[in-house]
Amino acid sequence: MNKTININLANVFFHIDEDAFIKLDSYLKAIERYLSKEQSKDEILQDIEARIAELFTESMAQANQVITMSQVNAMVAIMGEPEAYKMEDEEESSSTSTSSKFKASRKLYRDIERNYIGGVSAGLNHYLGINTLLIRLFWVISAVFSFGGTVAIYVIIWILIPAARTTAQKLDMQGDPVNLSNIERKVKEGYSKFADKMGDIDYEKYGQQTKSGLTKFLDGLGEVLRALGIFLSKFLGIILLLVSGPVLIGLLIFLFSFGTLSVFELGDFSQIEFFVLGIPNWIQIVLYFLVAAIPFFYLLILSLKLIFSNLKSIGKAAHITLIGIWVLSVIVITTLSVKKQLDVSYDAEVIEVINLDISSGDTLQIRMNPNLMFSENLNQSKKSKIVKDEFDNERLYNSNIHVNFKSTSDDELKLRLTKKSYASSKARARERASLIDYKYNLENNVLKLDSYLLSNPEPTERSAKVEVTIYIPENHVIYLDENLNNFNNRRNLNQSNYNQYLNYKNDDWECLDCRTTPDTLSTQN
Amino acid sequence: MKIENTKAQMRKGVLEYCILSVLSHNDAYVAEILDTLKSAKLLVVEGTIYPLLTRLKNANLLSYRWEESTGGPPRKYYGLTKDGKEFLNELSTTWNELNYAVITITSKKNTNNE
Repeated sequence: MNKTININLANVFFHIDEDAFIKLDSYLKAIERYLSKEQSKDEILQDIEARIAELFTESMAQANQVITMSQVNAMVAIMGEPEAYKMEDEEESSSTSTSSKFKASRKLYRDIERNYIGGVSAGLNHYLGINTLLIRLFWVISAVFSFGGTVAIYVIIWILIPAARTTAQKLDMQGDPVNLSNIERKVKEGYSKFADKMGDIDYEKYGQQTKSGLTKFLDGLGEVLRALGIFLSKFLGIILLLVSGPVLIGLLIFLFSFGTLSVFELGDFSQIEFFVLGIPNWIQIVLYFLVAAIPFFYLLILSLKLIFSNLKSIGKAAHITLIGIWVLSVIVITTLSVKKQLDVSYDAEVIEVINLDISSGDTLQIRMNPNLMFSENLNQSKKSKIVKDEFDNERLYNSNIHVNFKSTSDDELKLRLTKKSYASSKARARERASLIDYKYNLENNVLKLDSYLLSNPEPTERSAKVEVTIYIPENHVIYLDENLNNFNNRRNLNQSNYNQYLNYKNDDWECLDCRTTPDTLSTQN
Repeated sequence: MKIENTKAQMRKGVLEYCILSVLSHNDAYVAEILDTLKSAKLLVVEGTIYPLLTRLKNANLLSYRWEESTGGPPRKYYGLTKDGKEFLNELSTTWNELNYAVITITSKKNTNNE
């Protein structure tokens, strides 16, 4: 059983099998392509359709019979392959043709007869008219400079652009080059066709077959607009290509440079910032890459589609996979972000108050104490990292230490340590806060405060912090080391207060010997 | 250089002359012109003739009228115009000259070869 289609060929009604219809349709379209440079293309096509109708009528034994594939094949055998309609060698000598010689507009195919890899460069050579060697050189050089990014573009073109296999495709591949002057000429050609049609209405044609003047006018206008549309869509395509191509290459470099950085240089993914979403860094990078790259990949396909009209589809399965991966990545990132927020929604503090055993006559020196095992310099930074402690346990190191000062009417110096941590519940936050390692040391009237804290290696512990508050009785002499500078954010403590003997009264520093010159100060020391 | 191309070019060159000759005796529609050309084996497939006829018509060498046919679609009957007749006469002269030239040259060669 076959599905049939009703067609009107030169005003004669035919039933035709679906497969036969497809063949007939592509046959007529192929002829139209070959005749595209012909002045009276429409008229010739009408004559051909009339002849085909005649051949079909003759071949039918009875009315209402269905046209089958064999009849279409017999017709093609009589009429000849589409190539037979081409008369380019006579074009120049023909005095009848006033319009200049126009080839069909060029299409991009892969030239698989002159290929090195996929025939993309040879195809681009036909399409752009640029030397194949130069194009190949461009691919190689750009691949080196973009760390292989353009290789991905090459593969995309390889997949999407069909190879020139049939004669018609090979001819299309070598058609008119696509450049601005040709597009301009197309617009003009469209206009002159339009003008010709207006002036050359063939009233002799019978009845309904004759198009009305208005239809001709609209046809001509349509051709001008179509040429303009082609120009605009190519222009837009090139702009989109210039945007999406570099962005994709950039994203690929981002992906591979991070990937290699974490795999080869640092050896262990967990060493670098793996905590942003609470998953290993490389998974996170792949997720971000997919979320950003898939839309740009579609933009690239769109731009290629606009530039090269004969692009293959990447296939339904590929579309579904890509969109599926994208949606999944977005969901994973969103879920992890929400989870991360929930993970740090509760905070808790563990507080310790220590009396510092210093007689009121002695000067207290305060300084920060870095651990060179963990960090090479004494700076307060937001960076946290995994380190090994002396027992070879993994700990999370950070330097969220804040040192504050307060006046007190007591006679004794006091130290208040506040360890703060975040977690998904109050109890967990408290448990984690109590696990924060923070040490200080008082020896010979020198208070050494650790410049870092160590906590459990959990993602949320990145924001763990320790606040050190020192309560100072009035008239107690304090000497602040300059290295406190990074850890103290009190506004009333300025640079000149460091390395000086100070009193602290009413939450304000008072310099004891600032009136003396630096020289006498150093002798006092 | 492919032999097929050369053959096709030779054939196409004389096609215009032959079409005009066919129409010099009486008007005919496409299928009739085709039958004559095919029986003389000048034409293998029909497709070639349609662009050619339209060009000859556009050059005012041919004119046509519509005639209803039984069963099939209406037919275009082509005939020579005044210009067409003059064109045909000139072509005939040229053809005879060419024919003579070709025969003279090729037969000379043949005798040389023998």
